[in-house]
Amino acid sequence: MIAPAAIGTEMRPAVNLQPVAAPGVEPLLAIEGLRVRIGTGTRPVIDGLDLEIRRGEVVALVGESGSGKSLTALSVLRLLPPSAAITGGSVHFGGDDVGAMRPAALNALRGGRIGMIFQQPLAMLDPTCRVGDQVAESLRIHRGLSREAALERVVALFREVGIPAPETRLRCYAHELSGGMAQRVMIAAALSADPDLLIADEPTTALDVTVQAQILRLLDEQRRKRDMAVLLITHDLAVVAALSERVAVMYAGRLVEEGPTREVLNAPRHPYTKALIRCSLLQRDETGALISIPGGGASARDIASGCRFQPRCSVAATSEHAHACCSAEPSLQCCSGQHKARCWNVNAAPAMPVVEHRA
Amino acid sequence: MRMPDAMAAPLFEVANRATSRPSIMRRALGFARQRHWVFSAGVVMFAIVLLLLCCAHWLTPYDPAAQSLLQRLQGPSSRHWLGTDHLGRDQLSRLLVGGHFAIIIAAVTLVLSAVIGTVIGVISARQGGLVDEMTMRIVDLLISFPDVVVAIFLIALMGPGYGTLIVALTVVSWTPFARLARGLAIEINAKSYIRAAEILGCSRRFIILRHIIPNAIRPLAAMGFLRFGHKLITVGGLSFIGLGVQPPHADWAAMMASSQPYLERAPLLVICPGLAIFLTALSVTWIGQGLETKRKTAGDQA
Repeated sequence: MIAPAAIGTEMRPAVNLQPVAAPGVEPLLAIEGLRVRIGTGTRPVIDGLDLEIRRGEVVALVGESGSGKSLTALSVLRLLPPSAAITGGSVHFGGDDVGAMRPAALNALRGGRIGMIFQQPLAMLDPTCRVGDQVAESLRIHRGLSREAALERVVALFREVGIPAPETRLRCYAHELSGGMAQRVMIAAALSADPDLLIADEPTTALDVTVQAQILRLLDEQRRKRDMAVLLITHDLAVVAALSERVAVMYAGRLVEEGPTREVLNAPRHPYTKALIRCSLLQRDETGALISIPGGGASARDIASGCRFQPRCSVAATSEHAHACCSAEPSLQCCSGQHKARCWNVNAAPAMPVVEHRA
Repeated sequence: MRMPDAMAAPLFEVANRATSRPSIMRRALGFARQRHWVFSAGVVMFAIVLLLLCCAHWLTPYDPAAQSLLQRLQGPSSRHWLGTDHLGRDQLSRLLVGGHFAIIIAAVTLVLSAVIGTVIGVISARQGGLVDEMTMRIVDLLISFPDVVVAIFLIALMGPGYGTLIVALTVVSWTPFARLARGLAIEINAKSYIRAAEILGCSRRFIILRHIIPNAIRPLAAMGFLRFGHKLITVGGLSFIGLGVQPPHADWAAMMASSQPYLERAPLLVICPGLAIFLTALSVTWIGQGLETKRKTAGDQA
């Protein structure tokens, strides 16, 4: 381990990392040292993010609002809002550098090789366009099909994603659909070009609980059938547990913990992950109040020095590394196998079981 | 780590709203019923005007250009329903053909300026930055001059003629469309479905043609009809001062101009073409207004 004093705030943790994928197997998506800035003069909102996704793998990206999850997804597609810009790092998809792609290649990537679904499915459908035509758009662009052929294909897709009476649904407008139905349409659009990667940005947040379950099952079914990798962005740990193989936890623009889902959820190493799991279990403290993490969600912009989670951390003040916690940011360190955490106390703190398996 | 039991629940989302769609006629009627009554009134009036103008060739009782100096300035009679003008030409026949010029010029310039204005506005909005800024300042500059003044200036520069008239009127009238289209495009551009289209890999041109313009079309159409009335009056004004149709062809505004000296002896000669211009302009303005506003029904809030 490097002495805390030697670590500058600009340190790139990528240097310390072993690639997740087995040697020789190229990851499908490789994000290295990604930095995204909003506006000018401020600190980046995503700061040196590394993430790899292999073919057919489901990776969950977890974190609270403002931690940079959605920006990460949009960076992969190079579709950041005008105020934000990638200022460092690289994104490789299937071996191609996304940052160096020309517009035509980018359009082929978006929707062709990477599909994406969103939190607000109804807002994602053009109100003046029949939903069938909207899904067909993607097929016409990426597969070069005629309108008739594309619509025929859409019927098959609609049937696959569980939309009843697909022939008549085709001619519906967005306002005639329910939220769950609209999400199915979006999934059909995202799957239409047989992408290698599906980015699901909080796909069930806006939906009713029963519909949530249906949508999740549909996603799981489709990705198994197509051997498609999924980047699942969510803050719902139940969804993470149900669907993903690997989980990456983000806090204030940094990955703070990463590893196989089972290991991370059963034996979290980072105090933030631990607290997150406790909160999601709706456990109560001694006074009977629901457990919460003190303080507000920090954006990467207002971190001064030291560990980004330190101000809200329950361990920092009392640990033997208390000084380090305040003065320097830890790197992402291996704790066991592929499980890594960004905490000075990784090895000091015992892997505490916070999840009792519910039947 | 299990999925909730609710996954086994059947799909209850099936609603059969979309199974049968009413015919176009029925939908048009339904659309009109949702508008204020001025919409329907405007459509009916404009349809009558268009029908009369289209059939004018067969409806005119006399040759509109045939002079008969012995029958000058006659009042309404069974032979000449609206009387005759100062050269003895049948007023009704001239009225029936006199709308062609104004309506055709107004429609052509309107279509040209709407298309040019929309394209410039939408591109300006999507481009943003310096291009947007410069385009909008040019628009501001053009909008600050009265239409007729600029049109007269341009006609003076290029010489009279129908082509010149159309060019001059287009130059002065694309600006409101550009401004409106830009505003609409900026608003629509921020919508999630544009983002979704981008994520699906749609090209810029496709997004503009397929998503932005269809969503902007209704306010633009309303604006188009409102400007149509405005345009008719501008064309009328130019024709009135002699920059429009040349004799012996009839035109409403030119008829008013030539009958002006006889206002006291034969007021109908001025009133009839004036009324024709007024009613035609009113009908298209009503259509425009009706397109913009939805009738408040009992169930509506606000």
